[in-house]
Parts: sequence; C-alpha cells; structure tokens
Amino acid sequence: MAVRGTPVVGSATLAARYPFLPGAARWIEGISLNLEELLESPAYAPARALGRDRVRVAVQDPSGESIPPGLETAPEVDRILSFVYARFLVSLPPDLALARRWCVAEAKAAWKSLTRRDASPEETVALAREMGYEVAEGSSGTHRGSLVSFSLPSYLRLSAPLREAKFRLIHQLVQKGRVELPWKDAARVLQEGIRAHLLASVPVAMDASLASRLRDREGTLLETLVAGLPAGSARGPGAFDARGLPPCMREMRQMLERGENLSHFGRFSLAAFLHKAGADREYIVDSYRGAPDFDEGITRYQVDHILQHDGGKGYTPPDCASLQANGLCFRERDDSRPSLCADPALHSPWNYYRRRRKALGAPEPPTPSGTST
Amino acid sequence: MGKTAVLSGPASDLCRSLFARYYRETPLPAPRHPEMREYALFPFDAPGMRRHMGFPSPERLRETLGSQVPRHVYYSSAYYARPDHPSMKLKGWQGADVIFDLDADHLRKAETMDYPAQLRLVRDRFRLLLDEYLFGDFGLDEREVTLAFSGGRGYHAHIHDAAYLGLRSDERRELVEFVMGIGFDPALEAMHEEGVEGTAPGAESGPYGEPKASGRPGRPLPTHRLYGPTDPGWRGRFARSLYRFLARWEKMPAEAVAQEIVSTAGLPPPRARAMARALVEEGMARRIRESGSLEVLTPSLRKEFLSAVASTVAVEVQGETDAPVTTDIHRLIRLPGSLHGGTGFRVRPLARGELDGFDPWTDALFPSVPGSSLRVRIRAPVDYPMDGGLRAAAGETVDLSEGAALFLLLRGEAELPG
Repeated sequence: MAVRGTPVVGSATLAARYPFLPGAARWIEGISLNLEELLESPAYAPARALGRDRVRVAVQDPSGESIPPGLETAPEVDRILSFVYARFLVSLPPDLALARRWCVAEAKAAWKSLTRRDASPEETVALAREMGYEVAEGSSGTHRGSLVSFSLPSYLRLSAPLREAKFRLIHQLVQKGRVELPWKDAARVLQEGIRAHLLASVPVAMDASLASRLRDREGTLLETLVAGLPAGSARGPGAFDARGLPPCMREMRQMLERGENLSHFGRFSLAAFLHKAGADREYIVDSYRGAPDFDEGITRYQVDHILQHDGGKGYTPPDCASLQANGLCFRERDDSRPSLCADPALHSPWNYYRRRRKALGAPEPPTPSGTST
Repeated sequence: MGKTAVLSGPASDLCRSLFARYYRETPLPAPRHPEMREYALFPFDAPGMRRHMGFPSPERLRETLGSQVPRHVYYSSAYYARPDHPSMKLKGWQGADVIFDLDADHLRKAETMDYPAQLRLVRDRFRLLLDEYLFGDFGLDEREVTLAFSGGRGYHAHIHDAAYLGLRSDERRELVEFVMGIGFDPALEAMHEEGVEGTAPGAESGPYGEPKASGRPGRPLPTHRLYGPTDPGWRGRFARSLYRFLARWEKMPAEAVAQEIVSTAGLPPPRARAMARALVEEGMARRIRESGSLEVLTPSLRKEFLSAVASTVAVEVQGETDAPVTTDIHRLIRLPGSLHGGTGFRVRPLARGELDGFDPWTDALFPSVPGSSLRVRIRAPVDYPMDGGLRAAAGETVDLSEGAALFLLLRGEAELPG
C-alpha cells in the first residue's frame, strides 16, 4: 500500500522533529544559512543554547526520556539549528565517546517521537524512506494493528546490528522479499538505523579556524561534558582470567569497548557469565562503561540484580544455542589452534572457559560466594 | 574445493591439452562487472594458486586461460576498485554477490551414497533452496540470480541483485540462519492464542489437508491454534510440513509411525509408541488436522508433540547451505563456464527451468570431439552413468569418450596404458 498523502519530511515541522534527515539539510540549504552566522550571530543565540542543552541532556540521560528544556516549544528554525550546532560540539573532542552517547540519545528521542500518541505509521514510513530504506505501509486490519513492510535487504541492514532475538529474521513474517513488522517494532529497528546514520555523520568536517573558534567559545563546556561521561576503566580482573574468555564473550566486551550497542540479552549474558567466572562486581560494571548509553546507576542496579539472584549464585549464563538464537554466537576465527567452538560436545561458553583455563594451566575457576557446584 | 588427484607425466599432459583446447575454443560467459573481480588460477603442475589477478575485459581473461591453462579457475564474489591489488584492505571493496553453496558434503545421509546418488540428492535439495527460499520467501527475480552446477558435488547460486550487494557479513548470516531454520522453535512459534489471528476452521480440507476457512465471522477459534499453511515465513512453512506429515501418518500403521519418530526425533521407543498410538489409533492426527489446533492433545502430550515430532517435521523443510560461503564477503568461487580440475565437468550455468532435467553426466561432461576416443586402464572398479553406462573392473583397459576418460584420469581412477 502506498503512503497516503505526500511525505512531509521536507517540511519544517518534520525537519525540526527529525533534524538528521536529508530533508532537514535541504531545508537548511533553503534558508541559505551561513555557518559563521550560526556560530557568531546573536540571532542564533537561542539555537546555540538549545544545541548545548541537547548535548548536556545526552550526557546526563542517554535514554531519550529527558528532553532539553524549551526544545519542544522552540521555533522550528531553532530546533533544527540546535541539532546542527550540537553535532559541531560533539565533533570537537578528539575521541568519539561524547558523540556516540549523543547519537544514542538523539536516536532514542526520535523513536519516542515516531511512536508518540498522535504519530502515525505513515510518518515512520516516510522517515525510513527519506533515510534510504525501501519501506511501505503493510497490510492493516489485523489484531496487531498497522504493519510496516520492509524490503528484505533494508530489514537486514536495520535489524542485524540489534542482535535481539525478537528481531531475528527467522522470527519474522517474510514473504516474497518483504518483511512485515508491527508499526512500533518498525520504529524500534529504525531507531538503530538512525543511531548508525548519526554516528556516520560525526565528526563533522570543519575548517581549522572554525574549529578553533568553536573550541575557544565552548571549551569549558566541553571539558565539563567529557568529564561527566562515565570513565572507561582497566581494572584488574581479580581471580577471573580473561585469557580463557570464549569468543562470544570477548566479542561482546569488545563491542561495548568500541561503543557499539549490545542487546539486552547480550548485556545480561555477559554479566551472568563474568559473575560465574569469578569477576568482581566492579569489573563487571566497568565492562559496560563503553556502552553508548552507559548510566552508572542503572548499570549497578542491573548488575547487582544479576549477582544477587538466588542467594548470590547469580543467573546461569546462557548456553551456545541461546546465544546463537540471539545472533550472539561469534565462533573462534583463530586458525592457529583448533577451535574449541567446533567441538560438538561443547554446549556453553562456560565449558569453553573451563577448558581454556585448564589448557592454560590455571586452577579450576572460582565460583561466586553462595554458589554450589 | 575438495581433494584433487595429483597428476604427472603423460596423463597430466593429456588433461592439460584437453583443458587448453576447451579454453581456446569455448566462449565463457562473463560474470557481471568482470573488470571488478579478483581471479585466482590453480596451475596443473604446481601446488597452490596464483591469486590477486585482475582482467580489464572478458577477452583478456580468456586469453590468459588459453595460455596458462589452469586446472581450476576461481573469481571473487566481491567487486573491487583495484581487484589485482595484493592487499585485501587496499583492493577497495565495493560490494559482493550473495552466494549460496550447496554441496553433498553438507547433506544429511549423503555420506552413505555413491557419487551419482549424491549428485541427485544435492540437485533435489538445491531445488528446495531455490523454490522455497531464494525465489519463495526472499522473492528474488530469477534474472538477478546466476545458478551453476559446481562441477564437483554441488550447486551455486550467485545473487547479484543490487540491493543485496552491500550487505555485511552479519546481515548475510541472517539469511543463512533463516534458510537453515536456526532459532525457529515450534513450541513457541507454531501456534497462536485463541481467536487472535488466522482463519477459522471449517469442515473442508485445503491443499495441505489443513482446515479451510469457514468464512463465518465470530465463530470462536480453539486455543493452541496452529498457524496456517499460507502464513508467511517459517510459521507457514512449518504448518505446511506438519499437515503433510499428519495426513501421511493417518494412513500408516502406528508401529511404522513410531519407528519414524524414533529415527528422526530421537524419542525413546516407548514414548514414540505412545505418541504414535495417540496420533494414529486414537485419531489425534486427523483431529489436529481437521481442527487446526493442538487442543485435542493432553498438555503433556502436546508438549512432547511439539518438542519431538515437530523436529521431524522441521527437518524436512530446512534448507541447507554452506554457511561460511554465504557470510564471506571476499569469497573466491568457481568461475561459471570454467572446468573443474577434479572432474573435468564444466561449471555449468543453469536457468531454473533447466535444473529439473539437468543431468551432469551428459549436460556438464567435458565436450568431446565427436567420434574421438581415449584408451585408459582402470585402477579401481568404476560404475558411472557416462558414455551410456560405464562399468569396468580394476586393471581393465577401455576406450572412452574424451570427457569420460578425463573424468577418470583427473579423479585418479584410471591411468594411461603403457
């Protein structure tokens, strides 16, 4: 079914709501904005202030729940330009930690907007198309409400990085090269596309003099924001022996270190595994510091929940089949030694860890307090 | 790539001369954007391969094949800006065809078969892969997929639809796992809750033996209702297979059904017999089929039905493919139109319509000069459907067509006499 009416992403209203879209860039071109003016002109002071708030809020709460004060009621032009200014700001620090966190927050805010009470599937479809995905409204009238239909390649590009069982292709309604999803799920996979799109757009190329002036003006703020980011850590692993980590757990840790998103199941699996392997609480919490949406308080709460389950035994780490079902099985690719993962008798990452430690001459892995073996 | 018999002396010279004639005389079909592919040639007289080769045109490729006469020819599924650059990083990856490679090595039960039977089995499973998945669920246009007999023990499908070329490895893995049914759990996904979805059952049967929709709105649906055969994706595929199984089992003795469940689902024989009795003698198979629901089974039997019997059903419709080939975005794969150095078979491009009647023993055999023959001495007993049926004992000397003689020499099953 075709989108009803004309897609309105090119309008100022939609550009203000989704300022990362090419349509927003065209709108900015239409008003002949001069970058020098955006940085210097008093006329754009409100946009610059909102831009700072966009970044500040992302650092404080990357969940997309918090909205910069005044953003929703600001004139459309200020909302669009505040996004442009925020992207300049996050491009200044030498590493991308600030930018990654901002991208997550903006993507989550976009999801909230796509699924707000007065939104429609048409808006999701129009936005996805504007981003270059091949999408249409799907069949309607089922109990699941409105459906959005993706071409198979578009769906794969959006869903594979999510690594969530729910979005794996095997569970989808695939028919004649189309994948139909309930509208809100479609918005969720699109959120991942928005995050990746934003991340690909930073750092923004700036000429040296522009960057220098911006750094002079915003340096203090940026220092404060970067200092407010959760610090990475290289704490010692205690009794835990990282050399024995199976490739799936290694890859999940590296994904977090690289600032990539890891699904809820992946995060749970990693914490449950590390706990069983004898890593202490701080080491486990530290493993999540690179996550683009890291929040110290929430992470500690969730890690504690996993660690304290069943009188301190913790949860049982998932087996290979569960990881595979969630797209989190990363088989060994080291050709220099026989792969343990290829052994049909190996059913869980935990078995891998025990065997590797044994091969390394380490004693049996310790078990957490309260754990019976 | 399989094992290749080592050749030397006159046998090697003869095989090489036949390959040389083929590459000189046969126009090869060019792959899409041949100038963007990397090529790799395996020589007759030395181990290893020469790779990182690029050719600006199909004519230059053919000239090289005619002059160097390789035993095997591979090309990249990937398109590169600089295909001949020795560094993979600096080749400038632009995209890659999505390859599905089905080989007898990957098929259940193939290891107990002889080569001709393996070729028949792999052709049937390749048909399932194409019709059910590539041209079915994936909806690919036949014009965007090149099919080829590999010349060994399998078939290749090269998808060059532009929308697929940029897919990354993890995205391609989703396609593989979909085809192989990895992650589909019938206990969770074969049914849906009461009255929320699907068609209401009626008295008549549909083409799969499933209940036909009554068309009466408001009729309550039973709980634990199975998805219908026309539902999309794996739900519908599982339903189609399940109804076929149930319809077949209804006509079989319970003991035979039990044996089938034991052998395919691994259920202990007493449990399998109990299940088979319920399904056949107590009429549960018919009642499930007619109602479209598992409500007729007791909860414990229902659970066992889904965990054990369902696996029997799923295996029948699972596609098979060599997963690492599909997920590799730099794969080297046999060039369609070239010769397989282990058999002399042509890596024969095929249209989907040709596949049903395709017989490698005649349609892919090395093209012999009419009326010519070669004399070879058999080293081990052979039985192949070539040259109208070739059976010979070890030590026997036989006159064969060039294609049949080449096949046996390359496989090390014959030698030149004297």
